[in-house]
Amino acid sequence: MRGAGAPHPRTSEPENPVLVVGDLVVEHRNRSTGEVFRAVDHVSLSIAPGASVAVVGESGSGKTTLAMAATGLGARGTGDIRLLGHSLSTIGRRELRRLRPEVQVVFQDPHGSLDPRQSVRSGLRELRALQPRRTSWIEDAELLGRVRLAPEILDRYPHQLSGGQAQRVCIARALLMRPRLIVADEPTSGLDVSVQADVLALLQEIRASTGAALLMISHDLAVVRSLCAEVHVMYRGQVVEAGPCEQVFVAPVHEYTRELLAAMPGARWRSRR
Amino acid sequence: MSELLTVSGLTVTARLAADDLRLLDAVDLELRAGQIIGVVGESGSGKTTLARAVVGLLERNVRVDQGAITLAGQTVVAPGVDRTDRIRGSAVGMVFQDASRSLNPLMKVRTQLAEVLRRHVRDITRAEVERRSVEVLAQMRITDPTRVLDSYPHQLSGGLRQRAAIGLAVVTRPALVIADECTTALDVTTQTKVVELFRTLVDELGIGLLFVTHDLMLASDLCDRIAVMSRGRVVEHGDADQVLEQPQQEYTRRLLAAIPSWS
Repeated sequence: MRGAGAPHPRTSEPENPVLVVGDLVVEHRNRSTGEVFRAVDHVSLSIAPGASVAVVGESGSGKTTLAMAATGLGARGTGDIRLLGHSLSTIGRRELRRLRPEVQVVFQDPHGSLDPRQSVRSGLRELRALQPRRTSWIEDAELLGRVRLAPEILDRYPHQLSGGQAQRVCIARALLMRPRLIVADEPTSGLDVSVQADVLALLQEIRASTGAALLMISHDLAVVRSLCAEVHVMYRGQVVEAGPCEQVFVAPVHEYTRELLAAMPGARWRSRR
Repeated sequence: MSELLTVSGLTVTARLAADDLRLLDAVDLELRAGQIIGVVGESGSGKTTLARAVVGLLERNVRVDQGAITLAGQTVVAPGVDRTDRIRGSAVGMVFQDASRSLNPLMKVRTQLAEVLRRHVRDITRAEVERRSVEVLAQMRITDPTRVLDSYPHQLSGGLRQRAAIGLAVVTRPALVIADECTTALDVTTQTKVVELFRTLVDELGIGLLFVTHDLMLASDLCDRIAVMSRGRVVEHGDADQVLEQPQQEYTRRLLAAIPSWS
């Protein structure tokens, strides 16, 4: 029996990476023309427990396809993916289902992630019914408190929430599962800067308090640098550069990374501070 | 030097079923030819309403209560006055966020440019239409204007599509261009190119640009002046460097503080 207050019971060796992607290739075939598009092209990466890793790149670079394949949520592709020690190519359906709650995804559009016909409370009730033991560690009101939402929000429907509130609800739903890996795919792209700052701070805090690892997908280098320790730069399906943020952003080696950095808005402002 | 665009005391209200909602509250703004003003604010601050008021594209239930908008000394908008149909598309060009929506998906770029030119330039010849269409796309730094002219919007990349849309906005040689979040949907590297293009157009053609954006950093790179909006008001308005380096208002300071630090 798990203690009610224990945020993070561990079942496997803590030093094992939560996710290992080895030489992943994902291709999409156009059904009418038969053309094959290689969305992810021989990508490898590894995420240690509690680590914060970002994948940056522009639209179409393959960053979302990579994240979805790596978490067993999208097209599988070829290559070896080990999620919490299990190989996704040999894992059985039941085992995969057991693994699912360990990986929680926060998407860009929070309103698209929430059922418009369900109040926040009833959405949480549904999650609890699916995973009664895993979710019993915290009450609804306290859970919302963790993402700095008032208990009144429980009775709201998604359309009654602002973008920032809806994203906090999504984060709360992820948190409820006590995941070991949180995948955040452009979690603040549709939000105003002040709301973005709050959501980023919240993600950081949750990572620190639960020990969950974070895989962040973003096109925003400043957001990545403020939240992640390590970054992989994707371009046309390939990781062209990877390393600690401080190294990649301060001394970029690849031409494309330099181009991305140069295109970051705010050069004039930063140069004067 | 005289102002190209003057907005003075503009107050705009939406009539809703329940009650009235003030969208703009005594907004003042000035813009000279050859200048870029960035109108910056978060969602719901009124920046788009301001942009749309200038070109007379407010919704039907929205009314100008007080104040005026003048373009080159002529009053175009005031309570009960709307002369924007004389300037929209001719003296004032518009570029919106989603280029695939500002362009007609059923028409080639060539046809759309021709339509705008014929509508706004009296007695223009077929040869002149062709010449100016090619010229404007070349101004957009499009390397193969003929290919773009012969393309439908969906056949172009996002960046090319937005450049074609900007071309459509400036082909009539407007004095003022209104751009509303027109780089928001683009990748950063493409955004940089579009922003540089705007700077060149303003410098070369001497147009005035009203650049609406939620991105304070983008505005700081591009704009000469910045107006910060919040809740329908311009809370701070001045020289871009001054607003960013010595913000006078608490709201501007908060906005700047919310930007992720880069170090």
